[in-house]
Amino acid sequence: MAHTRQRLSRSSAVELGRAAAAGADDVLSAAPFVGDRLMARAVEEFVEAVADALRLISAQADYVVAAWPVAQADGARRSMAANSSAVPASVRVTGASHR
Amino acid sequence: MTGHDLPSVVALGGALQSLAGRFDAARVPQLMHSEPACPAALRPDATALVDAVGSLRPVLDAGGRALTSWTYAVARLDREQAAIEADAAQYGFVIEHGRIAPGSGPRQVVSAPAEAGRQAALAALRRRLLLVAEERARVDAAVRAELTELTAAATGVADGLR
Repeated sequence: MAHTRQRLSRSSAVELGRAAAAGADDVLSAAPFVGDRLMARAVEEFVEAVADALRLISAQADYVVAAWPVAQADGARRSMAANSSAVPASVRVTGASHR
Repeated sequence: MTGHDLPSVVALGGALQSLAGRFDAARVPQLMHSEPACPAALRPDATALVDAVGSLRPVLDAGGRALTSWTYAVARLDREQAAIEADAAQYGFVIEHGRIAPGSGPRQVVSAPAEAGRQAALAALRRRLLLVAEERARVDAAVRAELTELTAAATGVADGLR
């Protein structure tokens, strides 16, 4: 929780979403066979609740990542290019070589 | 003995704990110099995301540990029950559905002291069997209670994101 209030990076959000999505599949596919009826029910309810939470976390991460402007993520690179006066603006935008 | 597929329970426990570890790794801010801070308008959603992860992580870890511990306890009790069955067979008894019954073969005529010894062994076997059954009920009830609590916690995390 403190991570968010300090700083959450876009790449962390991406990784959280991936982990949650893969985790939901892993947990559901790992649902075990338990012989005792009461135990089986407790395990099944737990697995479903965890998978549900993981799917929602994955969806939330997808939303955050999609709304987090990608263009800002390489702002430093663009800033370095903009500072290079030897490179024509058209070349800086396309990223093509001027040689 | 109990009809549980114990390796699959261990696998689920491992998957849950591994996921908790993956969340830990992902939550460590991997800020590169090119990454900006979260846009202000997005902060409530980003906060909700990491809060949810922070709340679910201990649920995954505790669930994984509870299932793994339960599996080891069940395996130990299965071994204990197998030892009781082996001891019962030495006295010509069989254990069916948790009860001790005389074996199906013809019963030998034995001396009075030997019969007394057989009855004493039978009583001891019954006590051991009862202890195993009680312990089995106790560990099952404990893990069920823990899973019920953790299910409620996971449901709370999901409800917070709906």
